[in-house]
Amino acid sequence: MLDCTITVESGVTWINLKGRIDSMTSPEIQRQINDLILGGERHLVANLEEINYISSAGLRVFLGAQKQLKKVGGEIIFYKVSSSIFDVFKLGAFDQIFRFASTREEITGALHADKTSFPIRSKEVEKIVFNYLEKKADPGFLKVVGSQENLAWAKYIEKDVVTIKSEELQFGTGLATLGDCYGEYKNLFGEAMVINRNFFFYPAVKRPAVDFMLAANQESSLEYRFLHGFGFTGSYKYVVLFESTEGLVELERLVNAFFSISQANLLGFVILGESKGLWGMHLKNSPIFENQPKNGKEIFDPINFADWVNFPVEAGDINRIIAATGIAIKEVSRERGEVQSLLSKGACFHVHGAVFSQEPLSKKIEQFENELTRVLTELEVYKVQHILGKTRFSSGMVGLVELSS
Amino acid sequence: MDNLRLPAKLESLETFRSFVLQTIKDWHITQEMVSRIELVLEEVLTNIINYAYPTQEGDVEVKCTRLNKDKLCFVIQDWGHPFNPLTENSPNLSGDLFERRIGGLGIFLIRKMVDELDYRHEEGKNILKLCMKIKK
Repeated sequence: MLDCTITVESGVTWINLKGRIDSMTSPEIQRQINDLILGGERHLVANLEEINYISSAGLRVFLGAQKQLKKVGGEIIFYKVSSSIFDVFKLGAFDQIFRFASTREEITGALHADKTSFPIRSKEVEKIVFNYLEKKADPGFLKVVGSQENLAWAKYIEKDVVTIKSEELQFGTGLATLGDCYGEYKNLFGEAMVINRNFFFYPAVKRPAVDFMLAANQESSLEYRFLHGFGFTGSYKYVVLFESTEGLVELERLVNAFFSISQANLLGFVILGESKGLWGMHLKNSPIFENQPKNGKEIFDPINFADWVNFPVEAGDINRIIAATGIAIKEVSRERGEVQSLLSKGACFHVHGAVFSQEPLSKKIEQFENELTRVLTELEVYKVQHILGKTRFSSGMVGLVELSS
Repeated sequence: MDNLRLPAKLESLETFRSFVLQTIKDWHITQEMVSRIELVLEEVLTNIINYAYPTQEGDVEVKCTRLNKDKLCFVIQDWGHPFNPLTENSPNLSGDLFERRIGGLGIFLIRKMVDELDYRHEEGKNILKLCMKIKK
């Protein structure tokens, strides 16, 4: 009773429907649309040229799709709707929440008005292919928060806590938590990450679960408590799609290659990719004075390490989605001391990332920000960790913010 | 034969539809009107199929008659949970996309499309009578 075929024409995905859209056939349409949305499609055209019947079951499917798509900056547009079908849309006042087109030019016009088109450039570095957009963006700023010097000896006390207002932190990582009273939150510090004001942290407790505050749900200003970390603000100068030409891409090789795209010495970045083997670590205890090891050794000392640090022995979380943020420095010696102190010895970057459920990701550069928002706000999140350079990806997208030194 | 009784299941929809199309085929109704008749029938039936029998199975019966020259009437009855579609609130149609509710739309469409609607609950039956003017 219904034929449903998906075609892609000059970058636009069409759902070509033929027959009747009723209670029997709409579940199939719903399934197809869900697959497309999960696959990262954001602009869909429903071709109703050969549809002669639609009931409320069909309208409901389209309403649901429009709600999902609008949340992530997308839309479903109807093509060639007959007058009797349009009457049904009008009865339910659906003509006000959808756009209708009767020519292909109208579709192209409608979709392109929403997109700023930049030419995509390509580059191959270290066996990674980069396709990227360059945008106009002034350099952003890096802010160092607190200090790491009390970490190894686990001797942070209340006066070391740095309070940061949520609106001051666009991107960032660190050891942080939420709460009003030190006595209540002091044992809940953990690996933290902020992307577009969405805050995620993984308290260093026995059975941790990620806690988060999404930007959209923050009615008033929130305060984050940091022991140490950094934040940066700014706009993406480059939005990059990376794919390996050979095998998988390790984070370290990927980050080094950023410097063949950007000339800046200091970069802030956001990575969205599918893990092909995550190497991540997190603290198991809050590094506060009260928790200091009794044996008088550092928490990273071999005697204490296993009690204090959850360190991977093999790659994990394969195929899960990772959203990560951090900074990378080309020539470390050119940066001021407090910036240098953000990196471990010999490293040129510092990244924290959150692990989300396993789902297909879009590979369209123009949709990077929508896709990032979808992952951060809609997917299940499992942990937040400090991510090591040997973490591997097959492909993914990156936003690069150039930071002034 | 102007009535048909079948289990209240989605699979029965197609048989009800053919039955009604067969009944009205010689009435010279425009294709547009036929679509509206189909739509009313589907909305009423899916409502019964989805909500009339929450715990057990049951039947639904459709009677389709022509009342004088230009009026088609359905009498649709079921033996399920009492439900009066006339007392349902209309869904909010003026709100923006995210305020739109997904439910209640079927009944709203029925009420928009029929010219007469009459509900009664008798002897354990929901009896819904709907009439539509069939313009030639």
